[in-house]
Parts: sequence; C-alpha cells; structure tokens
Amino acid sequence: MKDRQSDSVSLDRSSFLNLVTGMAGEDIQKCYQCIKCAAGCPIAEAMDYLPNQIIRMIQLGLKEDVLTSSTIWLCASCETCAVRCPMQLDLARVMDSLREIAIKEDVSVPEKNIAIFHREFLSSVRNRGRVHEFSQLVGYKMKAKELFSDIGLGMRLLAKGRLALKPSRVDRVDQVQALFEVTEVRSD
Amino acid sequence: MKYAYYPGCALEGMNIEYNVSLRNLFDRLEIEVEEIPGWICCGTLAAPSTSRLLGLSVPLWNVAKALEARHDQIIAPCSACLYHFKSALHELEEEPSLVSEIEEILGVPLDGKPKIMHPIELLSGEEFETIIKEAVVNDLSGLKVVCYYGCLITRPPKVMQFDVAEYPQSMDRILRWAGIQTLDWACKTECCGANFNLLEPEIVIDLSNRIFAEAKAVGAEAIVVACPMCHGNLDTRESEIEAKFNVQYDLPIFYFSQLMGLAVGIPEAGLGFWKHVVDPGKVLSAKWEVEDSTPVTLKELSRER
Repeated sequence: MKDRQSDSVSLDRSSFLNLVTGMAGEDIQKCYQCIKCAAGCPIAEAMDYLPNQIIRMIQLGLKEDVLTSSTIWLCASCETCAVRCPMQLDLARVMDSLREIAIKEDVSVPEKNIAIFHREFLSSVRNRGRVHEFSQLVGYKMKAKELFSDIGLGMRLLAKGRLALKPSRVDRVDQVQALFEVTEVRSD
Repeated sequence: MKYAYYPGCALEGMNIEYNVSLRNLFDRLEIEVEEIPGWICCGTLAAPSTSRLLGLSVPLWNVAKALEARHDQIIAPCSACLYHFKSALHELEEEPSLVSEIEEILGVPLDGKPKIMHPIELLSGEEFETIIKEAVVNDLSGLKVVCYYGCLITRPPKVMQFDVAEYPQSMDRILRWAGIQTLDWACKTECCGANFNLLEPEIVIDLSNRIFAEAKAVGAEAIVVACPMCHGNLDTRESEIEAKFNVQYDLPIFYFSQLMGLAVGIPEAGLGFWKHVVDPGKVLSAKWEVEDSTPVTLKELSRER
C-alpha cells in the first residue's frame, strides 16, 4: 500500500505534467530520452539543463526546477528538435508554455533580460500595433541597464537610416489594445 | 490573381531593403500583391511566451483582416511572421474547440483556410521557371553564392509543410533560374541565433561564425538569405565575428530578392544594397547593365503607407 506522502508526490507530478501537456498540446509522456533534441540543439552549450532533461523533469513533476531554469528562456525556437524527435514532439511549443507559466507564477527568472525584452516588445505592439525598433531598443537597453552596449552598432545603423526614428502606428490602435485586454482576462 | 502581402515590422524598419527589393521583383515578374489593411505585428516569440491565447490571437488578427479583404493566399517574407501565422492556424486545426474562442476575441469569424506562403514558395512553383528565365537581363553567372534558409521556412515540417526540412532546394532553384551559381554546403538550415542578437550576442556570434566558416570553405563569395533576422545577425555581427575568431570572411549578405532583382535588371536604387553593414561593393564591383525604369525607391515605399 502506498503511503500518503508518495501519493501527494505523484499527484503533484501528474498535475504539472498535465498542465504543460494541455497548454502545449504536446504529449510529453511519449518522450523516451533518445536525446536527439539535445544532440542537435544549437544553444545546448549555454543551457543549464539540456532539452531532454527539461522534458524528463516535467514527467517527474519537478516544477520549480523547470520554471527557474535558464533553458526555457534560452531556447531560440529554431525547431531543429521538432524535426528530429522520433515521437514528433515540438519542444519549442513546450518551452512557450513553460515561459507562460513562469511569468504567471512570477517565479525568479534567471534570464531576466530576455523576459524584459519580451515585455518591452509587447508593450510596443500594444501601444502602436507594430514594433518601433528604435524606441523598443532604447526601452529595452534602459530597463536592462545596458544602455551602452552595442552603441557602436546602433550608430552605424542610424547612419544608414535603418533605425527609423518616426514610429509607424496602425489607425485602430484601440482595437489592438482591446485585443490585448480580452486575452489577458481570458488567460487568467 | 492578387496575393495578400504581410510585410511585418522588420520589413518596414531595419530591413526595408528586403521589402523594396521584393516588391520591385514582384512588379517585374508581374506578381500583384496588396498589403493587408491595418496589419499588426505577428507577436513573434514574445506573444506565445506570455499567453497562448495572445500568441494565437495576434497573428490570426492579420489572417482575419486578409480574409475580410477576400484574400485566400497570403505572402509573408519574414520567416518568423510566416511561422507564427502557420503555427497558429495549425494549432486551431489540431484543437478545433479553440476556433470559437479566438473568433470571440477577434470579434470576426475566421471563415476559410488561407494559404500562407514565403515568397520563395511562390517563386519556386514550376510556372515561374520560364517567367524568371525570360526576365533575366544581367548575367550574374560569375557570382558564387550559398543559400542560407535559416530555421523557420521549413521547420517544423508538420506545420510548415514546405520543401525538405533540413536540406531545402527551393531557393537554390530560383537563384539558378536567375542565372546565379549556388553551391552545396552543410549549413543551409543551421540556426544563426535567431532573436538573440541584442540579448545574447555571444550566442549569435558563435553560431553565425560556423555559418560563415562553412560558406567560406566551400568557396562562396556571398551568403543569400530569405529572412530579416538571419540578415540582421550575419550582417551586423560579421566584423565582431572576424575579430573574435581572428579570420577574414569578407562575405556580403544578400536577400534572394536583391540578387534576383539585379539579374532581372532592377536598378540598384530599387534594391537597397547600401543599407547593409557589410559592403557588398567588392563583390558587385563589375558594372551591371541596367534597364531604364522607375523603381519604387526606399523613400517612396516609406511614404506609400
């Protein structure tokens, strides 16, 4: 007979697995650790856990370790793993869902700059309908406290007229803002 | 036949030369396109990372606008936008119960199943072989290039359903139709670091270095791309890569539309070579004969909006 503790562990384990499986629409239980994803991952070297390890950790219900990993933020969504996975799992979609859960649960993100970048990016879309690269760039660099990195490159791009100073904006920004508000309410 | 056209944010900002050269190429090949009215950003990686619903609603807003304008074929030249459109439609197909929720959010029905295409998918259709070959006026056969497809034009295959995922040929085919020599190489679909140019430049520098090294090793004089992110990573970081690895690549990065545009006689003003960080002058030093025509210039295109 199982004791109470192991029951609660297995309940936790399957609840995280079910949550991610449902959100990503990928049957994570199918993974049998062939490790092709990690072998072909261009970013593996920079990650704290390999992609296959993240999948195994989800199966085991190691929610906190997964959500606080740098891997889920460093995945570039290049989809190489999705081509090679013998079980046709799309790991990039799993990573999307893990980032969404990490943001919602407000866990401590090791790759803060990437999270800031996403936030700045979406606020540009929300306010204008489109991304204005120049203001998004400056906004990101200020919030990430990296204002002076890449300044030489920025100047070169400005000189070539590649950083448009005047933002483009769609006519019906109100509709775009409404879209963001509705999805926010429904995603909670 | 008129196609809906979704340029995306990069093509009206940093990568406007891709937009201009492609629009000029379309004009020359008599392909009619119409910008999706009131299009918004595709949401890229940021939207699905924040909420699944946002990641679906933002790209599908544009699809709904195209359908409203009675288009059923959409051309998206940025691989990331292309992927997010196709991925959102694929998710709805896999999970039909989502359709009504997305329709409620968008406030319009999603009637119809539009085909979303990269311009390379359109141009590599059989019917374009003769059209492209007959349009060529400048001989570029002396130029040896490699085609760099990047990640998302073909991946993941269950979503993109185009060409061979890790050994595509379609860009090579259309460049050869335009008389340009394309070389075989091993990095057609290796990742360049995607949207990490600002965030994790060291990752971009290391990954892009492999691409440059392989291109140089097979004897290429230039790398040809089909995605604004690939162009951004390779073009803006080349000098840092050369410094870090103590090598000299001197490889300009072209969009396929720029080289094909040159081959079919679009004047340089309509191709935007001067926007690049890596000077393509050395490779293009030969004087190409150009036809007298009035292309859309960068400024005119910016004003058009």
